[in-house]
Amino acid sequence: MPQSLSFLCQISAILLRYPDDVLMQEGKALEAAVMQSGLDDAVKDVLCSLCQSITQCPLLDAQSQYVQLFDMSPSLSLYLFQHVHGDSRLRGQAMVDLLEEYRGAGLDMQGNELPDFLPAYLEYASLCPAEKTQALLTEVVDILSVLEERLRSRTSAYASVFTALRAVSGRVPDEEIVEAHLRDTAVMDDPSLLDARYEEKPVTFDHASGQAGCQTGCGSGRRSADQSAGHATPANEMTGGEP
Amino acid sequence: MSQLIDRLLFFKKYQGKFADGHGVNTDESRAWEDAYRSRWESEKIVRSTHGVNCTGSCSWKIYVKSGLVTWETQQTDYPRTRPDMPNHEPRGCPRGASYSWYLYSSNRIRYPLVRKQLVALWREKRRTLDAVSAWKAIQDDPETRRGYQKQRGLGGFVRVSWDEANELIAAANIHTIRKWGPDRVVGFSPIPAMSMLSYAAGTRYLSLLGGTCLSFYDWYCDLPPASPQTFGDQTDVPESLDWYNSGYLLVWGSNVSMTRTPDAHFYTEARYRGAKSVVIAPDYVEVAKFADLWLHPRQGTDSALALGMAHVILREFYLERQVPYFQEYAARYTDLPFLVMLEPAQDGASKPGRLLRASDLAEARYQTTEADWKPLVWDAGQNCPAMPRGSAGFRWEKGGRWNLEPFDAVTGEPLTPALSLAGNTEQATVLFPYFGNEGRFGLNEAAPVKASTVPVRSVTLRTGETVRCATVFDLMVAHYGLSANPEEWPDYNANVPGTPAWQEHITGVPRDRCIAVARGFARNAEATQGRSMVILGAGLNHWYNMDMTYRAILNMLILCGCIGQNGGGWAHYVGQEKLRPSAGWGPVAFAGDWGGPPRRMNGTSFFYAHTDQWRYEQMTPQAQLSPLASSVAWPRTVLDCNIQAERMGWLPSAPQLTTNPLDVGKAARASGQDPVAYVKEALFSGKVKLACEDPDAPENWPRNMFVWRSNLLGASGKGHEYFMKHLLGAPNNVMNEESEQRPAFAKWHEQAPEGKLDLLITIDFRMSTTAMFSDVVLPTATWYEKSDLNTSDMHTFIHPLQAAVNPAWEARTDWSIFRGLAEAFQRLAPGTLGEETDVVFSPLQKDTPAELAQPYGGTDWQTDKSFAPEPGKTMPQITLVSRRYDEVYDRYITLGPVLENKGNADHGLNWDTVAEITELKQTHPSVSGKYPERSSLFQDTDAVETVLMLAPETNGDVSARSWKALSEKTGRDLSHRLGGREGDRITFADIITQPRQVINSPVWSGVSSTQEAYTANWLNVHEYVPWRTLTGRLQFYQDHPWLRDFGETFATYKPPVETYSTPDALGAEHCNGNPVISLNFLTPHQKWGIHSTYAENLIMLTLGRGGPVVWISEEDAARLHVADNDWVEAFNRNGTLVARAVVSQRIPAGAAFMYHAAERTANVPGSEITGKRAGIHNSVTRVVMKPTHMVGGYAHLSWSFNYYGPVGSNRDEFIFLRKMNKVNWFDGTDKGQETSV
Repeated sequence: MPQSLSFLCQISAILLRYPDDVLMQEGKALEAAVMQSGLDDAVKDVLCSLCQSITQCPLLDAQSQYVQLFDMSPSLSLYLFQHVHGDSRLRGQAMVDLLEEYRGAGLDMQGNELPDFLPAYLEYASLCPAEKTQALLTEVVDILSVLEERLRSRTSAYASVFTALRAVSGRVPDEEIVEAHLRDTAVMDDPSLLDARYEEKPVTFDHASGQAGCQTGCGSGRRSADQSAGHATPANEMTGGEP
Repeated sequence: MSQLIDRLLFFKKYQGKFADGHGVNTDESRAWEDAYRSRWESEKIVRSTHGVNCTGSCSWKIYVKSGLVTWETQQTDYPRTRPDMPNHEPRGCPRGASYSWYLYSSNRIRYPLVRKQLVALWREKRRTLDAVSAWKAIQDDPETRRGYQKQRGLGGFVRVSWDEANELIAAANIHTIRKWGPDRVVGFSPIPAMSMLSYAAGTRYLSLLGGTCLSFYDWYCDLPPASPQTFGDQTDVPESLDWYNSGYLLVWGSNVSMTRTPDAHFYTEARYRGAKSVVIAPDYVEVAKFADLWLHPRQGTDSALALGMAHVILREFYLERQVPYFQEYAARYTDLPFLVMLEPAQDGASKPGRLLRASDLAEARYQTTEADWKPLVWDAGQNCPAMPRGSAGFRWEKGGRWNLEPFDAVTGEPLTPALSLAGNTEQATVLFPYFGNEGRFGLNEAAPVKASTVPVRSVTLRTGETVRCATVFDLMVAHYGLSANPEEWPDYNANVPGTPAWQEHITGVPRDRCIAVARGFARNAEATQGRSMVILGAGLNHWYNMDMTYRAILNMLILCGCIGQNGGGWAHYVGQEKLRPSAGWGPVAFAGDWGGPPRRMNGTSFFYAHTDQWRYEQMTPQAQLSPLASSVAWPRTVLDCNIQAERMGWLPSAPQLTTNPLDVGKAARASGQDPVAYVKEALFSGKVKLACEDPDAPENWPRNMFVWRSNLLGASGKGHEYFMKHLLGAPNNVMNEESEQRPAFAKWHEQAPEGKLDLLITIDFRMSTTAMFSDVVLPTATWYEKSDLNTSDMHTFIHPLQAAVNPAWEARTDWSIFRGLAEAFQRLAPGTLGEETDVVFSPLQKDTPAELAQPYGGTDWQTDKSFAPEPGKTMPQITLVSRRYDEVYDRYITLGPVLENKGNADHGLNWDTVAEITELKQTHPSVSGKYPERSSLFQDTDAVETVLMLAPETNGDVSARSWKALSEKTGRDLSHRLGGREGDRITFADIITQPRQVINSPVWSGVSSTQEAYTANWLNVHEYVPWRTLTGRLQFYQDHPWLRDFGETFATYKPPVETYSTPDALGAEHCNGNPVISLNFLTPHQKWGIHSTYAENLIMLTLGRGGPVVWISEEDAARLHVADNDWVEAFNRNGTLVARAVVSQRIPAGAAFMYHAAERTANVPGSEITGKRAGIHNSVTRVVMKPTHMVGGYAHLSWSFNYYGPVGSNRDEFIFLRKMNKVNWFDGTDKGQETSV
């Protein structure tokens, strides 16, 4: 099983990359490798079917779908910290920390991807001792779960990778956090709920409560709650402000 | 015991309290502080800044850890100013402070992208064909071509490799050049100053091909035509530090605290120092909070207010009493003493004609070179006309008489010109036009022609005829409603054109406020010798008659002697942004080092023609003429005016000929004749035709277009929907019927073309609206990922952009992107293109001897066949240029030989630069195989060093030579203005260390030093260098025939024009049951929206309700039954947009504000009217051009890139606004949303 865990990470990293000629040619070989792995049958099935759905459609279609999903839709970004820090100052330092972790493990990144690119993270996980692999997946299970739901709602075959990863992550996603994110997605996907996404509570200057409105109190409270769980929606990030 | 032994001499107990118990020593661990310390640790801190639009030009520290940018903070090391003046820092704003968030944002473009349909076609053709043939095959099949054009804006991008993208683009360029001509390859990029080499990359590539570079300053409508009209200068303004020197500040139609954040502290400091502050804006604008007095004239009527103020100034400071400083200033530095010939008008009365020139007189002493360009004054001593020095006619001759020294140019004797001829018995009745009766709003009825008595002198002309002449001053007094006779002065309370009461009827500003501000402004100027200042901007300049408003305001400044004085003058801060080392940059940017001239085109005329906005034109030139206009037949339509301007060499053309200029060049060479004469004759005989006469013919379409550093379609594309329909052939919301107008000079095609562009390429770091509609999107480096130079007119420093990190993902710098394209081009060209002869047309260019081409206005050789046109005189200049398409890459990466032979030049000054070229060869040897002996431009840093080496502003030796050139031209030794900086060098290494103050150069009209703030026109006033105008002075009076016909000899009041966009029937047709009203549609600059951050990022969306908003007044909201945050639709004939209503007390009734620029990529729902996705702010605009801006070949009124030419005004526009019933998001759910929540 441990081996199959790192195999799952590896194969997921491969499948979540931008589809290219090589992937198209290797489709059958990948399927074979999946079938020979020690993964659960159900997991094998979904991985093979994703593999097929990518490799059996014309390359340009597979590519444009990928671009539409992962390059053009911030809510489906494959960059982990997009979902944690959004466009904020905290993101740079978070990536630096992650890169330091890779280097601590004796690995340096090649090519031009960022450290928080999910396939890179998964490849790193696949190279770690089993316990660590498990821990790495556990750490991001909430994001995996959010992406899974968002892809599922778009009826994308890519959802299956996330289903498989979540299943073996060793932790049940934090319902509250996932729900909060998905509420946000619902808003993103349903523009008629635009106000819910951007509305701020008015400042009331309520002297009775002893504070000027709720901005300071509510803002920081929400941030710390989100951050302790590894999540803050970007919008919240703004109201929370800088530490 | 000794008390010495009882106590310690050198120690006391460590623990305990100190400072009277306020301090205490403790010894617990402070290790926790390390977390905060290490937070600010980084591997390196790199100096950079923010590139395209942002005028702030603030230097920043970029923090890099592990090869990743973590954040940025403001630099604080600007060289300090002199004691007693505030320092420049802090500079920076929240936009810049959040820019690092863009680097890794999901908005970032990471890979070259091409739309799927085009990639499929390309790869299919490439299987069997070479690259150029493959592109040809795609273009040759009209259905295939339209097929991928229709996908524009509909997504479907795939990533491609750089190699494939470059090959596709290069093949398209090669095919286009071979089939249609190099001028069909076009590029648009704005405002180079803030990342000048990134701009130069594209224009260098295009110029090596013979492609067309489009101007931006005029297209953005940020160019104030009043500046060339008055100063003969594009725009030169004080740095923001100089606000501090002012005693009286008018902020007029500008919002400096919001749009000039890093400079705003100078405004606060000026107020602390005691400056009076008056803010003038129709809405309660943010900067109004700085005001001692806030005046709010009705939008678009500001010129009436300025005229009212100048009426008070003229009467109280020139007529009732003469202020010695003003009198001296007016006589020496302005055209007020110049003589205007009167022309006969109706009923024996006269009207002002043109300036009297030396060539008009018979006396031998006036018969000099260029006597047509030497206007005359009245010599009060000799009682006769006299020729002063410094006018345009002296500029291009030897003899050193082009200066403002008060001497007679003929005799060399001191000359005292008369400002007024009053006191003399001769008088004339002179007529002046009045325009306040017609327009969309802001009317105040009066007689269309007003008669005044003006003192005159009779002068006998060479023809024997006697003509009466008046001074500009006497005419202007009459024009402002005053007179030489005090009995004729109207009461301030009389509603007579020009008075404070008259303006109150138009603007709504109380007359007493107008009078008080005028007096305060002038009194301060009198007491301080000109330290009254006006900061003015887009709020005034984006109107059709912006030059009237600007000139009306400039007149106040000139009358009060404020121009050229520290703390005084005009401060226009919109889009100009001074590119200080321009002489070093110019040859690199437009490939002048390999010979030219470059093809430079004015953006407004280009887009007007090629987005087919002219087909919908409702305005006519005739309708705008003065009641006193001469009977000369005017071109029928606005497009006709532009065509005539192109024929006469006033404006440039793109494309230029209907035939491929390479074919014309080949035929010209083969003819055995002088090739220029061959081309001229071919044109005159009709064998070759100008492309402007048939803009819709396929051979005259622009075919390939590059957009870089710009969001052309999103932010600045006035007439957005016409861009979509005609230029791109994409889905659009044009609701307009074509006009019934038919141009006289252009061919009309019944079927308007859709989809003129074969290929649209956008180079950006974010998915802008323009990128969304492009065929190819290339990822560029952000401002922390490349090396470049940054200057501004807000301060006098030069500082760098630097690559703190390598470009992320597959992004490349602009320099290497165009270098890569050049490489692909050179590789693919042989077989299709090699060594070719290109025929290039250029207009009669400002700051060259050709600006003295048509002293009386010119004649169109196409309508008047009685004379043969002469290139460079009565028609454009024609140059044959040898193109080496097989060397595009080698030339791109190498500095060519032309500068060694011809020297370098700027603003009409020329100097030798062999020493610099020689040094560059040694310090930056070429890497090109073909030109190993030359210097390199391979890397962006090579290009940066080349610019710094060649520019007077960064190389003291070059500066010394340029001052020598000006000294020779003026006959005055100006070498002391170098300020002892000969031998001084500013290199890239220097500016990496610290922002450096540029070296003084005669290219600019002011000088910078650590002792005083930079202000414009300083050299003119303090060193007697003439302005580059017809008279050599500040021009109140414009005597070109076209401006005379428009009644714009003087600044006058013209109400906002009717654009015919909101006919009642259209409003009625699209009624959804809710009230519909029409509102004036204004698009001011957004807070934070378009500079270093853009409206589509999450932070901006959070600040702005997540999508498009339109601001309206409470009164209009009540009429519309709209509550704050309701969805509204704004529409007119041009198109439609959908937005949230922001209902605010801040907004005046009758106007709707939509700050630009929201993106079409962010939360734009469908239109109720068209059933398609709604547009953006420019969807309801259409550019309207003013013919007077097309004038050329006339000294200061001559074309130059971004200098003079029609501007893309859009604030006279009206919309219908109504509340929406349903909002459709096209999200597949097919559910409309009730708008009232």
